[in-house]
Amino acid sequence: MNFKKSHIRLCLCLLSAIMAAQCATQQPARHPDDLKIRQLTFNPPEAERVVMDNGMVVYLLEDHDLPLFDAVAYFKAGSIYDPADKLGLAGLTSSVMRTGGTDSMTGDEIDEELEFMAGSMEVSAGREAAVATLSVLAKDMQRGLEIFSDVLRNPLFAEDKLDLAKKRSIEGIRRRYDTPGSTIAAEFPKLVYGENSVWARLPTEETVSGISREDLVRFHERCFMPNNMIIGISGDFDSSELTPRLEKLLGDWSPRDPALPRIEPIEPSFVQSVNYIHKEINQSNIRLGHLGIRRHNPDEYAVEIMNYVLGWGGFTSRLWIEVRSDRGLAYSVWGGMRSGTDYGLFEAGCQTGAGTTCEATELIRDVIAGMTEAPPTDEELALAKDGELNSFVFNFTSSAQIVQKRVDLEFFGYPLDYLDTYEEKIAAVTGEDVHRVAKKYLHPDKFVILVVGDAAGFDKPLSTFGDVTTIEVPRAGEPAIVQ
Amino acid sequence: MKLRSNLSKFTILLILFCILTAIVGAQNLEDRVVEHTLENGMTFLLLERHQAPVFTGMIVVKVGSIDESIGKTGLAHMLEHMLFKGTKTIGTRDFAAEQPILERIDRVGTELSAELIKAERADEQRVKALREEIKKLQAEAAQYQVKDELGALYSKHGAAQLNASTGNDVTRYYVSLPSNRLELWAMVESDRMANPVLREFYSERDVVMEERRLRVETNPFGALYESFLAAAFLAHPYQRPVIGWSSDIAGYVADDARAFYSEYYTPSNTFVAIVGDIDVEDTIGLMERYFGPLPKRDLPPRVGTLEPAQKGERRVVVEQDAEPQLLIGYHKPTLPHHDDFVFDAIDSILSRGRTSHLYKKLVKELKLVASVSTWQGTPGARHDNLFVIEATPRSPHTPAEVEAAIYGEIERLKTEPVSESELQKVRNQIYADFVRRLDSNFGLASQLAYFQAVAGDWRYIVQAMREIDKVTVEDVQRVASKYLTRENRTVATLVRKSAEPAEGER
Repeated sequence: MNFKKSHIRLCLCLLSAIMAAQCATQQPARHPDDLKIRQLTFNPPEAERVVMDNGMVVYLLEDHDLPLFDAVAYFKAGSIYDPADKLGLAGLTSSVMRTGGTDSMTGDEIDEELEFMAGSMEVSAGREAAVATLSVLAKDMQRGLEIFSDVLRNPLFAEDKLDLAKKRSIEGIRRRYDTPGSTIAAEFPKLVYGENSVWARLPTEETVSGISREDLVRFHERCFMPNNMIIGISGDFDSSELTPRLEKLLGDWSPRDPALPRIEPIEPSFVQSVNYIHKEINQSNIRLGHLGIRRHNPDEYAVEIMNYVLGWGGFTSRLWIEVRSDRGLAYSVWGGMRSGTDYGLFEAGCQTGAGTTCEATELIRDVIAGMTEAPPTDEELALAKDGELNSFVFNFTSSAQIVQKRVDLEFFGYPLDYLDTYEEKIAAVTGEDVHRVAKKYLHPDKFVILVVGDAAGFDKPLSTFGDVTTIEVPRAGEPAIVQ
Repeated sequence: MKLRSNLSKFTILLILFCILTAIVGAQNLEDRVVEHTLENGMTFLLLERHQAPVFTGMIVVKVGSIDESIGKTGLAHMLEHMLFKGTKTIGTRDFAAEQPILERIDRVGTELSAELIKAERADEQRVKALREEIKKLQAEAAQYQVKDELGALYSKHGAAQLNASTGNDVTRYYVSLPSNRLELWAMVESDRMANPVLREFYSERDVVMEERRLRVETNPFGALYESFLAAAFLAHPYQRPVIGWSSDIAGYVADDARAFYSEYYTPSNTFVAIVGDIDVEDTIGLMERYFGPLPKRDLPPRVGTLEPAQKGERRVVVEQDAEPQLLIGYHKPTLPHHDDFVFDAIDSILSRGRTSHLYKKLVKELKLVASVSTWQGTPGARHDNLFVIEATPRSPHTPAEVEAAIYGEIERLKTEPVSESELQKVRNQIYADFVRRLDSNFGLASQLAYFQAVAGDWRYIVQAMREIDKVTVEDVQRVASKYLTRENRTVATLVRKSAEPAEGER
């Protein structure tokens, strides 16, 4: 056994930028701003990072407060690796890996054993990662890990469980356009990235139907291996006992070259378009946006502050205040830019009564444009930075969360000291930085606009914003047609 | 089968182990929660957890949609929105100057509501003019206001999970903050309890109308659920939607919300849990200082209406532009009736996990549904409620086929005794749930304050676990036979609009 270790030290100083000199013995404060806030220092528990000989990265964090045991593992095995004619393969591989049994147990036997011990193990796939989780009581740690390892290493992909998973997946596809929210979530990324982009495409009844057990076996062989895996373990265990157990269960899993298909890079383009999906409803669901930024862009911190000011700051953002609080146009309104492995999305949206559809769309567009016209006010900047810095501690409230965060950051390629430098980088963002990134990355004249609703009730024709493309969404499983 | 016999060998050991550990964990919680009641009757439950320098403050007011009067449905929820609009010190630069303008807004707003409730017969020009006038007055008031200051205050101090929610039974206000903001929390929340100012009432009412459109009118499942409850309850206010009927929302005036607030937001009707990195002694001092001065008041009136026994199956169909869904509900007693604990067990047996009866039969074996679940205690727990089965049929199977299969499983529950190992699985799960909940300030605070309000004692959390431990095979059969009957059920089906009814669907 040969574990390479590297320690990550983190010391959080929860400084308050909002401190006024006041003593408890003096006149009691009349306004919360007058309260004296004592300084807090906090050393969050640190997860130990070890690399096994076969390349598996392991984070460990002991926590003896409660008799619990949790593990989470990320693999590069998401849907971006699906072949174009087998969309849905990553999702089916993940789910049937868990339900379809292993060389030593049927899926039903795994269900029985785990559920009897009130534990769970699940595998699911997103766009980039397949994520496997295990949660058991500490007394069941050994058995839980055995099942976890068996499922990841030796899945059988039983035909009957694949058939069941395909049927359920197809039912989900049939229901994709049942609500305005699910409709817009399915169609908007396609308009920005292109229908066939790995960042937007979705499984269809046809692609799912064409997936065979052999496809799953091959996908598993290509993606599930120790050197394509980062695992985080937390709970009531003793590291010196756990590491030999891990070594025994997973140490002889041989590394292989992951055979992941090359992902075509995005050719960034920004072209305004106005799109409409008809649904007979009294409230429109509106989305505007375009490509965002790439992950690890040094401007990520300034973009985060921009997001806070614009539309992610909850009760304080400009979109909240202008669209919801001042005008009562929407219950839910939001906007912000995500970074992505290639390019993330910049999106803003709301739901508003049919008769205020264009008013709300224009307002959102104007509020976003406002970000490019001037730096945020000093109060907005201070609020955003204080909010980010003072709430940073909520990344460290449980051991399972601390470990999960580590795994997630490493999976997405962040440096190991990312959290150590985070506060400093946020604190350094200036109003000018926010203005600069807003001008650089926001293009309000080139928004892709998508409205789901009933045009008969709109306050103005959508063509106010440009030529309108109507998208016919299928009823229960037919393919979408763009007219 | 091999697995079965192995399990049963373990069963006795496991029972012993679980009982021992459960009691240890439960006893531990019972020892650690400190209960403190102020002179004015406000109850605080305090629990120290020092894992991280944060805490959750959870305020539960025992008022929900069931406490509303006819014509004012949704008012509890509207008021919850309004309590984010500040106080006489938060949200204003000069309340004395602001107040007369707010009063003028109220007067115009009352006229607007009177016009709006005429619905189609409303004078559009007048509505427009009144809205313009409110807008003008609001702009005038704005010069004295600090926009959304309550939310901004919490945000800049690092709030997480800042929100509130309204249900049929209770209204909750919650936030998690760094632990050096405990006094700030006490100051803001006691001010919100004592001096709320209902600013921007009429634009917020529009927000609530949008929320209704989002949750119910454009959401097929929301629409189904609304009709389902309206059919299941003839008399009891559980029949009403929490968000309110849209014509009622249109008719609110600010004085409605103020009257509702005065009646229900009293100290003895408020239950608070603070869980996290706190010092119990210091916290009691702070709470005395900030919440102590709130005057003691009478308990609000309580709902007396009892739902009469159901005398036959009720069926509702809701047409939407969406694929079918199914809800089946049965009337049953609420806590702390022993049968309610038996339903906790039945809930697990029927639908929890891949080994549950409904999942095995409907999902795995017959492949009739994409998913099936059960809900215990819908829509609330202050009064007798429903046990609900929800299913998503898988095409081409019809809701009628799914219904028949569900009834088959229910009959089986009545006639075939469940195995002892199934009951043991339920106990194991209830215990594990309990332990997992202990890992979160937010989860613990929610449970403590909720059960203090609804069950009258937070120890219900622990007692429930002990009661479920005692549920027997006979209990399950008896309770299934007593309540899960045809004449006691309401069935609501979502069908695609304008679709020809499939054979046997109606």
